[in-house]
Amino acid sequence: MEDEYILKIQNLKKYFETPYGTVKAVDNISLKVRKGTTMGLVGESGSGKSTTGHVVVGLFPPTSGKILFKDRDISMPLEKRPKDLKRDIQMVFQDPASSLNPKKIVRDIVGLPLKVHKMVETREELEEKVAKLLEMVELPPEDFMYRRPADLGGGEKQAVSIARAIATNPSFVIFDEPTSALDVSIQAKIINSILNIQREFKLSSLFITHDLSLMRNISSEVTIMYLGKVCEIAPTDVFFQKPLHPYTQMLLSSVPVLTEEEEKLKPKGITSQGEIGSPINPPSGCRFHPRCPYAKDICRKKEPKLVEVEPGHFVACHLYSER
Amino acid sequence: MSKEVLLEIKNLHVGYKTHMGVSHVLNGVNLTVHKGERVGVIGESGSGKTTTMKSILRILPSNAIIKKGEIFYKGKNVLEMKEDELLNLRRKKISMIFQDPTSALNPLFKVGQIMLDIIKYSYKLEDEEAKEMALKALKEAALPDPERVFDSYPFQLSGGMRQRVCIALALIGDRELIIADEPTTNLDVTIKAQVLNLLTSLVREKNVGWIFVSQALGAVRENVDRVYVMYAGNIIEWGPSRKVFSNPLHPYTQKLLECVPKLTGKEFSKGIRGRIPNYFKPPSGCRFHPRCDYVLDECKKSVPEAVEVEHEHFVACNLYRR
Repeated sequence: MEDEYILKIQNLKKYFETPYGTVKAVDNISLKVRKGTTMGLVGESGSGKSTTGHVVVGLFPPTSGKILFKDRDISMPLEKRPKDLKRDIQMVFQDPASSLNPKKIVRDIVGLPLKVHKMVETREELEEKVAKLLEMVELPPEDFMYRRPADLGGGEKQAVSIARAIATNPSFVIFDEPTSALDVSIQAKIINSILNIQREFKLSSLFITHDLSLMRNISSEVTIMYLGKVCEIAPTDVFFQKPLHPYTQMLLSSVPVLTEEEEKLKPKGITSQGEIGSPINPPSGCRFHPRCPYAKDICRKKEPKLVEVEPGHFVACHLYSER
Repeated sequence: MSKEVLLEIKNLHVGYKTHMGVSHVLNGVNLTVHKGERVGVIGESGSGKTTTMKSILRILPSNAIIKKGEIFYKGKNVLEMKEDELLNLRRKKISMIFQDPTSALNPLFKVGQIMLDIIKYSYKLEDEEAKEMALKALKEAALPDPERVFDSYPFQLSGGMRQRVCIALALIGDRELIIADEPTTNLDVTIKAQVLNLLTSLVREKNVGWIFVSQALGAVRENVDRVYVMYAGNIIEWGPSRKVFSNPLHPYTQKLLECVPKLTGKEFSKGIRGRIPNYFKPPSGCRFHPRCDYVLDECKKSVPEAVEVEHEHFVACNLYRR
């Protein structure tokens, strides 16, 4: 029988050596993504969420730990990764302006992965496929095929990056804050095409974002990261009804909302304080303790383990472990 | 209304001269801020929010042309002020907080030096007094350890702290109006909340007028008394914040609010068709008409006049006339 998880990350660590010391960007995290679902990876800058995505797609080899994709180990450096795996895992980056070659036309940008993976033979075939891909992201091919990135708006550029990412018919796509640089009305369009594509291709994905409201609309499970650690994992609806980790609560209470209904979902009695610590010299014990209103002695000394408090809902906090 | 008017923009038209011709950006903006009032301005990028704000302080780029309109600050027209009056306005009365605190602070000078220069130049104070004033301002901006911040270079501070320094600078002395142009866009969610809480409480405490310009609709809703909605160089709807957000009238406002993802995960919008118009050849009449689902014949002909639909809640849309 096939495994129900498409991606399993086990004790992943990614450290970077810098002149100031070792940056522990991702420090021993484990998570699993179910087939055909979207895992939302949420955190603030410096939490290690993008690094996690980059390691999975192969931009950096992990420092230690394992990544299993469809039960195959992919924790080797990118050069050693089999080509079919590269085809199967794709990524959409945050800034579409710097991830598209300004000198190429849209046909060549979207068509490049098709050529690299030898999925087309003739030029006609290539144009036909590219046209189909552009239609999927709602860019009329006759208007866009021969344009260059400089002639496109921000949303259109991001649509091109998405078309490129799905060109090779991948089963897993990592979206790294794909709409954070866009206006809300354009964000809505892009998110809609992403949702359609996910449905149509039965795509599994990792959706990295700092926007909890957006994540609510797109993912089926959520992982919250803080300073290179995972603090909470939960199914999305459970997560919003019952956020457990104090950091998660602080994050949720900080989200500005538009309606009374949403107001009710915001945890009361906790306000944002302090700033994220240094990943070079992170706080001892629980990394969130200097900002946590419930911090106890044990939080300063011992790092909390990720425990399952109810089926599918994990939290790493001393308030919930060994009570 | 009995409240004292601090700032009044009347029928402001501003364009930019470029090598491609003249772009007609602001198309008759009207906006009022009362003393101690918190006013929000929302709209997408390119809607003319920043152009409006820069017109108030007359810090528009050199290719800008103010074609028509008046900006009254306490009854005096800013557009007709002489250089020394303008400087006085910028140094002592109105201040502005920009989106990117990193580029607002000179990286070659320590925070203290930057602050001292501004204070000494504006208020003609001695070093000692100026330093006292600077430290007091830093303390008010809830910066832990003001002495250390005073003695740091901007790069030694985090993004949130840098923005607090900018807030401290903006509130020095007896300001009457603070213009904050996307003050929290570059910050993390939890830091955003902290900075906004700080700004609102300082504004309230000192009873200064505040214009909060942002694309973050939720943040505006939670922090202002009245809100103006901008689209393509026009103010299309304005009124008390609660009313505009709970009962949006203009088709654009309605669509825009639908586009924001909700925490409840309900009803995800499909976005607004089309895009913001080309300012070199803006659409005739109501500038939103090519994207509007309810477009009428007269929408293409003339700019709709504002109608008061409920108490103090105005909308410039032909659907509400009569």
